Order: sequence, then C-alpha cells, then structure tokens
Amino acid sequence: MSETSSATIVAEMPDARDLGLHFVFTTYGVAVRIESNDDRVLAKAKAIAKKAFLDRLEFIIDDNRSVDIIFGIAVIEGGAFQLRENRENISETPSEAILMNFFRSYLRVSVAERSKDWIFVHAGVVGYNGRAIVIPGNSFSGKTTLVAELVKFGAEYMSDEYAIFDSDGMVYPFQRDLSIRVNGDRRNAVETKLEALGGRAAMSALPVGLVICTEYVPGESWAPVRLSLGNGIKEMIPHTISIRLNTSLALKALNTGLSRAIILKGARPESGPVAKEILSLADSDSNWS
Amino acid sequence: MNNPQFPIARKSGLVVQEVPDEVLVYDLDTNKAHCLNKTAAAVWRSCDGKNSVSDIAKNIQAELGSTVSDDLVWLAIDQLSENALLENELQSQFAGQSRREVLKKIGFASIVAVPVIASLVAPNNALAATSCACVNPGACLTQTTCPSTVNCNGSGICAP
Repeated sequence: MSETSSATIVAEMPDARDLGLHFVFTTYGVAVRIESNDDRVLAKAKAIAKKAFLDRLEFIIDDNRSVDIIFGIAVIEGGAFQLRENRENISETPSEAILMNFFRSYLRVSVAERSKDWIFVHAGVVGYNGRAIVIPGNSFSGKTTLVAELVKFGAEYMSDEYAIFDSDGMVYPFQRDLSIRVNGDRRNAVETKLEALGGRAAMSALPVGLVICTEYVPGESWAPVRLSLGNGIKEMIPHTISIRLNTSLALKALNTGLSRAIILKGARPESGPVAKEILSLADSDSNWS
Repeated sequence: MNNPQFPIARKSGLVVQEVPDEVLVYDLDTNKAHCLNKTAAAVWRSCDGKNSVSDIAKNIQAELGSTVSDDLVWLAIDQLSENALLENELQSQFAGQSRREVLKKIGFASIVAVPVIASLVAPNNALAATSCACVNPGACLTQTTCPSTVNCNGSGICAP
C-alpha cells in the first residue's frame, strides 16, 4: 500500500481555517492544536506527538479552547504532504516519512520555545550522586555518545536531548531512548533503550553540579578550562530554546541553576576516558552532595 | 589627554541578569549575549550621561578600592560601544592604536582587572541546534550549525 492510498483528501485549502479533523493537547504548559484532512495522517501525528513528549500530553476536549500554536498536516493533490504552522504552509514534500520526521522535531522545538514555565536547553544530562551533569551542545557535537559512556560508568540517565529547568534552576529528566549514531552518521542513528546500555534512570529533578561545554574533536586532549558563572550562562544561551521568547525566565533559571555548579569548557577526545575523568571530578568535589 | 565625553548606558531592548562579579546582558535586537566582567560592568553602570570618563574612573576607584585610570575606563567604553551597549557614540580615546597596545599600556599600570566583554550570538534557527531536520535543501540554508547548509539528505537531515 502506498503512503497515500488511504488518504481521504478533503480539499487543497491553503487558506482554509481548518483542515477538518483535529485534536488538542497541552504539554509543558503549551496548548497545541493539530489538524489534518486525513484521519490516518492525523492518527500518525498523534502518535508522533505522544512519543515526542514521552506521553506527557493532556488531551483537551473543549473545541473552543484557545491554543498557543496550530499545526496542520495536509495531504494535497498529487499525494504530497504540507506542514502548516498557524495555517500557513511552511514545508511541503512528497515523502510522508520525511515530513513526519520534520514535524516531530519542529513540534518539540515549538513547544520548547513557547513554554512559559519550563526552560529547555539542548543538552545531554545525567545524574550522579544527587546532582546533574549537563552537557549542552548542538546536534552532531557528540552529546549522546558522552551521555552513554557516563551511564555505562554508573551515572543515571536523564536525557540525551534536553535539560529541562524549572524557574528554581532544578533539572528534570526527559528520558527518551538514546539516539546513538554508528560512526557518527546520522542516517545510522539507532534508538537505543537505556537497558541495553545496562544503565539506570534518574527518577527525580536534580540540582546542577557540573556543566561541560564540549564537542568531540578527534585527536584533542582533554584539558578544559573552568568558566565563571556569567561566561557559563553565556555558553548555555545558544542552546537555550526559549531564549528569544522567554529571555528573563531563561536567564533567571540558568543563573539559579548554575550558581553552585562547576562549569568547564574544552574540546574532548574519545568519550570513554573523558567520562571517567568527569565522574572522578564529581567524586572529588566536596560540594557535590 | 582629557576627553570629556558623557557615555549613556543603553537600557531598551536588553534583558539584564546580575551574576556575582559579572553582568549578563541579552540584546533582544541582535540576539547576542554579552558577559561583562566586574570592571566592564562597573563602567557600564556608571554610564548615566552625567558622569564623564574621569568621573567614572573615580567612581570605580571608590567602588573597587584600587587606582583606576581613564584609559582603563576607555577600554571598557570602546567595548561597550562596539557591542551596542551605549546610547551615544563617543570618539574613541585610542584612535589609531590596537587593543593590544592599549592593553599593554594599561596592564602594567592597573591592578584592577582589565574590562572584558565576551559575546555570543544565539542561533537564528532553534531547529538547527536540536535536530537539523529538513524537508528540502532550502530549509538548511539557515541551519548553520548543521553538517550541511546546502543539502537535505534522504533521511531529512541537513547533512551530506
């Protein structure tokens, strides 16, 4: 069966107010409405939304409820797919798989940007002896690899994507399966269960003990420099999703959250030896717990 | 050399976070984050349009308890101006001199930390930082932190 054979095309309605079918949910304080003109596509979008936020969705029945953002996935003539944001077309592709992959990422970022109570920082996070180790970084910087190594050496898994701060600077778990790349190639990323690494999950929010601003550079030696609090927050800002829309809260949460943390910056070599050194540093820090 | 100018700290379009011994400033217009060290922050706070550079030097001397030269204040003013953290444009005291030359001159004469403003730009595209997802090559143009800004690969990632 082709990807679109079961599609029920209502109409190509670039200016229509609604694609006909929809559901509404809230997550992390953000209300989202998702629309489609195809019930199969809508069901898929629902599954993606649930997975994107680890089932932390509250579905809303009230159709008149105002929302923060509206997404639409339209099946258009010719079987292509359109992604709409607030009823404006933002992307179009003949591949349903690519559109859904894009939608999952876009949905996560959109909620992270609009959350008023939570600050999402793109980072890997583990817990260790009651405090969090936060590793901010862009995609392809090697966060997940380092997180996986830390977990193998006894740290508790919190996230390989987001450090989620509350306004008091505590970091909350966001434990999706780890997306581990084979030979650094994104196309070969494998969703890996925590259990497969022999790891444990952190169960509660933790204060930050250590921030590691790093990226993998082959052949580099591990010689990070310690940053001041202000410079540490500055390094976190490019990875803070809501920095433009919720600047005050983001700066406050980072200031509070990092106020008792050691903040290090430096390129790193292979993750195994570095993970050991990071945990040794935590072990030797008298302020750790 | 006396250069009686009266700098004014910019207030609008900025979010300011006080950090022990530093000030963090986020510029909403340029999406730049600036970290001002203690000396740069002290100078910036004194830029009220009423204080001359010499007045600011005296204020900071009183605040930090160490001798502060006009040159040191000018070094901060130059950086504040460069980062659009002042309302008014001032004629630099150091025209024709490199910052290295100025630092050398000040460095030996001052025990107060040299003013430093470290800056970073937040990315335009939050998606780039988190996933590099795309549906076509055009979507990669602004994803400048991804492995490719020209290619959307078969997996829908801005990468070769």
